[in-house]
Amino acid sequence: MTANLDPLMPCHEVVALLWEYLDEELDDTMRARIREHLDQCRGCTDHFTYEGAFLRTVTRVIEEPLETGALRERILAALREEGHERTP
Amino acid sequence: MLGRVAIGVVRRKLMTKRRARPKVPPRILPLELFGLLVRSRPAMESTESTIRPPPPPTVDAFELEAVPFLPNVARYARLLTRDSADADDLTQETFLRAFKAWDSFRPGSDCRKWLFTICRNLYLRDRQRAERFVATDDADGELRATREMYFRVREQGCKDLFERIDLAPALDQGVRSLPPEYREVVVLIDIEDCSYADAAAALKVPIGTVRSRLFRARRLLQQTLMKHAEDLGFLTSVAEQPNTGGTRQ
Repeated sequence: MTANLDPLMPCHEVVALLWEYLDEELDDTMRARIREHLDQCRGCTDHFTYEGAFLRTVTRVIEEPLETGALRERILAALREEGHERTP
Repeated sequence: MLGRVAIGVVRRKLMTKRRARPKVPPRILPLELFGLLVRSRPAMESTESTIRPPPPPTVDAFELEAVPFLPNVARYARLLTRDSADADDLTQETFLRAFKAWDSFRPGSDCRKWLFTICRNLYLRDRQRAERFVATDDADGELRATREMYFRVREQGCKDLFERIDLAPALDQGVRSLPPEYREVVVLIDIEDCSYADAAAALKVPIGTVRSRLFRARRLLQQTLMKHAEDLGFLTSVAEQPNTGGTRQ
C-alpha cells in the first residue's frame, strides 16, 4: 500500500470550488484534486452533476436565438443606407 | 484535456463541456439578402434567373458572415437590456457599427463573438454603471446557499429536476429579472464563454467581484427555478428544510 501524501480534499473545500470547476477556471493540479475527491465521494459527485445540469440548462435557454422578422427588415434597411453612403 | 483519462458515466456527465455548441451558423443566405449582397448589380433580378445565387467574388462578406448572427445578437442584446425596444436599438447599432468596422474583422475568426463584443461595449458605454453598484463580495455565502438548495432538492428525490420539467420559461424570466450587474456576468460567462478574468476586464471590475456576482446570479436563478418547481408541485414549499451537510459515502 502506498502512502497518500496528498490527502483527499474535504467536501466543504471541494464544494467551495464548485463553480470554478464547472466553469473550467481551475488549474490542472486543483482540477485533478477535485476529480480525485469526486471519484470517491458520491454525495459531491451527485451535487456536481446536478449543478452541471443547471448550467447546461441556463446556457441552452439563454442562447436560444430570437425571432427577428421585423427587426431584421429594419436592420437590413439601415445597412442598405449605410452601404450607399459607403459605396457611392 | 477532456477525456484524457478513462472515466465513468457520471464523470463523463460532469466533464461534458457544457458550452460545446456550434459557433458558426449555417451558411444559408436568406433570399431577402441577395439584393444587399450584390450592391453593384441591382439589375440582376430582372436580367438573370432569380434562383441563381450571386457569384462569390461580388458577394459582400459582411452579409454572409455577420448578418446570419442577427438572431443571436438580438438575443444577447435582449438579455443585456431587458427592454425589447432598447434591445432592438442596441442590435441595430451593433450591426451598423460592425458594418463600419468590417475591415477590422479578421476573416476566419469568430464573428459571433466579435459581434457580441461590439454589442457589449456599446451597451456598457451607454450604461455608465459601476460606480453606483456596491458588490456583495460574499461568494462563499452564495455557495452555501446554493448547496442548501441542492440538499433540499436531493431530499425530495428531485435530483433530476432539470430533466423532468421544462424550466426554460422560468429560467428565461429569471435571467431577465436579474439586476443588470448580475445579468451581465451571466451573459459574459455563459454566452460569451469568457473566463472570469476576461469578464472582469470587460466590466472593469476586480475578478473577485465577477466571482461573487456570478455566484449570486446563479443562486438567484436557482431560487427562481425552485419556486417554479414548487408551483408545478414537484417540490414542497421552502418550509423548514434541515440543512444537512454533505457526506462522503
